Amino acid sequence: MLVLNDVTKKFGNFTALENINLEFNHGVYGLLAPNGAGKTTLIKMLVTLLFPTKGEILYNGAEITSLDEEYRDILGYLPQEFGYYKNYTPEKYLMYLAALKGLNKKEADKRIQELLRTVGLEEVTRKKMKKFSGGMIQRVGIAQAMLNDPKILILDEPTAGLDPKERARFRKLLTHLSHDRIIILSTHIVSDVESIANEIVMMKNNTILYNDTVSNINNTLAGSIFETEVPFSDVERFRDNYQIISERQDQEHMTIRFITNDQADEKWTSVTPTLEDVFLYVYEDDQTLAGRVS
Amino acid sequence: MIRKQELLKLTKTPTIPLLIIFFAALNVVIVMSNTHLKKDLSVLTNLVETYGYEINEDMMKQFGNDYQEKVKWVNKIAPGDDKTYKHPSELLSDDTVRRENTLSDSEKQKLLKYGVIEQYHRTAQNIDDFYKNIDLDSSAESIIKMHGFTGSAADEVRDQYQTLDGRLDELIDNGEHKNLFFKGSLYEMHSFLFRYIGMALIFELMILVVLITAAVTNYEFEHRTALVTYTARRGRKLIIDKLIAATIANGVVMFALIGVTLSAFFLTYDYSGLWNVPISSYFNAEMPLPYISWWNLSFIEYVAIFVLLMMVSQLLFMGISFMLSVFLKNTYLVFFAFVILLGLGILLPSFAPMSSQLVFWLYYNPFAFILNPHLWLMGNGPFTIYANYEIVTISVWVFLLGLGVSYSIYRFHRQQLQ
Amino acid sequence: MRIIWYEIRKLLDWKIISLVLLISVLFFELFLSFDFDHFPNGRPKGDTFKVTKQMIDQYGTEMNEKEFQDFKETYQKEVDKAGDYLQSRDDFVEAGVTTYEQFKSMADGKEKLNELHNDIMFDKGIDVFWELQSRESIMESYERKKEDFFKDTAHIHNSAWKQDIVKGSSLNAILPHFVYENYNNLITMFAILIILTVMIVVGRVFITDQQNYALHLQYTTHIGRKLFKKKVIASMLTAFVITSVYIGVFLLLYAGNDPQAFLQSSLRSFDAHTIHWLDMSFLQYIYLTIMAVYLLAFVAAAIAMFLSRAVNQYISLIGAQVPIAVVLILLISEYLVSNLFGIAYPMYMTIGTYAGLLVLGVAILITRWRKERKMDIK
Repeated sequence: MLVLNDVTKKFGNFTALENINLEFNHGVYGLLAPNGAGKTTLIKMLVTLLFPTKGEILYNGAEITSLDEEYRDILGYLPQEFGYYKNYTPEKYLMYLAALKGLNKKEADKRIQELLRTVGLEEVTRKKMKKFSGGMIQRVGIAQAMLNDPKILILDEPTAGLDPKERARFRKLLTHLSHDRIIILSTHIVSDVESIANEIVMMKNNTILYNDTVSNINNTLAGSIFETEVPFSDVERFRDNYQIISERQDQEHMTIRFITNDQADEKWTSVTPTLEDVFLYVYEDDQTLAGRVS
Repeated sequence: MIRKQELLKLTKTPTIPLLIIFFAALNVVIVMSNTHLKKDLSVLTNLVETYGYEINEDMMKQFGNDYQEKVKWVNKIAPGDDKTYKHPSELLSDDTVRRENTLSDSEKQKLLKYGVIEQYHRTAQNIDDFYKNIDLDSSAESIIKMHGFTGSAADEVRDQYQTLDGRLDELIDNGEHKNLFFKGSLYEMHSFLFRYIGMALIFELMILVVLITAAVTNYEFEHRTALVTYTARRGRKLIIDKLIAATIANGVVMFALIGVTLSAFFLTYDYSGLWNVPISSYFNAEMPLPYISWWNLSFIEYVAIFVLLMMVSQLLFMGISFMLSVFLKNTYLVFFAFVILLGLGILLPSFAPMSSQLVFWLYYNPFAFILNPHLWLMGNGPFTIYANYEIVTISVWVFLLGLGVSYSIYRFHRQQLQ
Repeated sequence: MRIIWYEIRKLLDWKIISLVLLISVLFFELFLSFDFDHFPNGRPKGDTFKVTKQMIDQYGTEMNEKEFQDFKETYQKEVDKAGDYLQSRDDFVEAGVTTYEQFKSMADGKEKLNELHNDIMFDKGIDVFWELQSRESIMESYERKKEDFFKDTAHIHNSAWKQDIVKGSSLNAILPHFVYENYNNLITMFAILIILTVMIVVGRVFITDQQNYALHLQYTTHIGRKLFKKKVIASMLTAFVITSVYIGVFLLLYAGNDPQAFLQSSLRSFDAHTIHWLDMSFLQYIYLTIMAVYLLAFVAAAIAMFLSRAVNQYISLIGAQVPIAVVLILLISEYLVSNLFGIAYPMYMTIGTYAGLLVLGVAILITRWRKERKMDIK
């Protein structure tokens, strides 16, 4: 069990995270927040690259930094940007990291072959990585994180650069792995976590906003999400009055999905809220997102 | 606007300014390493103040008379009357006087000073004889023997020494050699300034120029911004702005470093009254063969041309590093590729057989060019003796590198950028 | 151990190896090949070299007064041989030159005699005449050894030290100054080449990982930040390997200069131009300088490593290494290797500089490690 107690992180005068309290048990956690909300800072603290300014991070009751290599032994980490040596083959590269992870050569060898098959790189194990596409590099990164069969697997934007097929394969892999370990998945792509995450951690203003299951979070907007057809002439006025989530242009009119607490109009259809709805609603006033919605 | 931005990028890394400061400090230390000569040097400056630098009959008469006064003084302070000293040096080298230690400190100082004056007086008297006896033919022969020239290469050396002989006659007619200057065989001020300080400057500037040019040219590739910048409206033409920015930056750096170094030099060593002394003055000579410049140049003219040649050669290095940068796209690689080229350029001539003209041709390269800056424009032997060696090397390479740079800009427009 | 091995292999990447080899070859051609190809350089140095080797055969590493008498006698015999040669040549007999004495004072300026003189010395290069020259200069420096020693040490005000040396026998040692100087030039240039190579190779130890964010991965593995220590060891081992290889090559090549006969001779020979604080044999001096080179290589590695971690860009790495290389090269060619423990610099200065460099090297690595342990990796 991984626990954060009142964790605050400051960089000089700037507070990146404030009073974070979290608990991770087995399962997949989706860390959902727009860019700049402190996701990467939180993750870097969980992997011991950054140290909390205040508070503590405990694994099974012990401070992770004092556990030292005992903690890193059960840790798998895929950073957003990770270093690889262009002139190395994936095999050689993984051998190097296996050494850093304290695996002995024989078991590493077996494990590497296994993992390269799992991520679908068995054909190119001896090719230099400088020839690899972004998706292939990312798969090497995922394999790397899995090398030591970690109890805690932390992935920062793991699906960036993957095509839909690779993404599906990756989700299947995670579900398969999630039985006996903690998987923390940071992303701003809602669909990545919606189906596989047991719990979602949403962050806003450098602190935790929600920490709950997908359905519970979705329920917070139950009865407030509608869809309706609006003639083009009325679209402007409608936009001014309601908080729009999405618009779709049809032949005669616009189909608009929006949030309101008003009494439902008869032309409106009430719909089940999705995580995407919550995301857009929650970060509506967020500057980085505002530009995207309107 | 674009160029200003390119220049600003340079200031983002403190590397270049810090290096300039380090080199400037180093040069000041080098300049100061000869301060112990200052007192001796001032003797000559005073002589020039009194007599002017031109050595002619009137001047020698006056100089001679004054010198005899000084010899009289020497005999006056000399202990024991049994011995007359014809020159201050005789007293100075008299062991019994030294042992008995009868001279006061101020007398000793004065005696030492007179010893220096004696050197100038003696040399001034000997100039004509000395130049009468210079035999460039035999110099050529001994140089041919020393380097092992054979065949047409040996003939070439003979020819060039012949040509130099013509210039020597002209020099003697002009009286360029008969001018007072710091005595080279004692103080080696020519080598000090144009060789040691000059070489230090050249190599320091070379490091800076290569780094600056490569850093400016490769900036986008090293900051992963190449994809954005080279697809903007200005596009690949940006490389031209970078070249111009690099030229400006290199120019500024050259002025700064050369300025600081030469200021330190001329503030430390007093050249007043000597600016117009011909560089081929016999007093400047440090080796058995005196300096023979191909043109009648004064010291200050020589300094100016020296600085100019130094700066132009740096422009050549800039051209080379620019071309390397376009193809290598990595400052680290460019730096070492340049080091290798430098080594090859210096070594290349030594691979040529000493029997063919090729050996002379190979010296016309920018790296061999900078190895003996104190001999620029001089009849120096045997490989770079040509009167037009400097101008040919510079023009040929400006032309070649101009082509090379244009070609690399053209190629850059067609390069696949990843 | 495996990690260290991996790190060393990363440092000794074939591209970098090719680069430093190429640079080394150029450096060798420019600064080193001369002292191998042209040793002993010309006449009469070659003859002196031969004569002194014979002397060591005969007298051992030192020549005492009695042996010197013997040496003088041999000289006389050689003079006679030269006379025999002159008498065997009609042209010389005709010119009235039949003894070595006459040969030596053959008047300058007289062209005919000059030609004859040159015929023996240069055109034919008759050994005995050159050897006589060598023997004369050997005798001269032997006779002047004390005088020379006092002259060379005039700036040192420690007469007890001087008296001890003059009373001892080391001034009798047989070691031509150019043999020492040849070694001194070579080891100095090799030292420079070695520290440059170490700086280029070890300078990459962190920057390659930093440039592509590999540190994030490395520091979250089992080994974690202790990787820093492993890299220190890897860098030091690499510096050790580079130095050993270069020193090995150097010793192999240097053996070709045939210095074996002189290895046991004291550096304070009667022909010494450089006086040293310590009474060392030539061999001891060689050991000492090689140790010095290793020490400098480790210091250079420590500095290069520190810089490699401290900077983010290659241009900054070069920019920071250039001044350090310049300072190290100047110190090496002043007193850290060249004329090591020579009296041109006080002994405490040499020791002090080495101690200072060593402390600096250790201190920057320790402070960096302390910082590394608890710093935020952004």
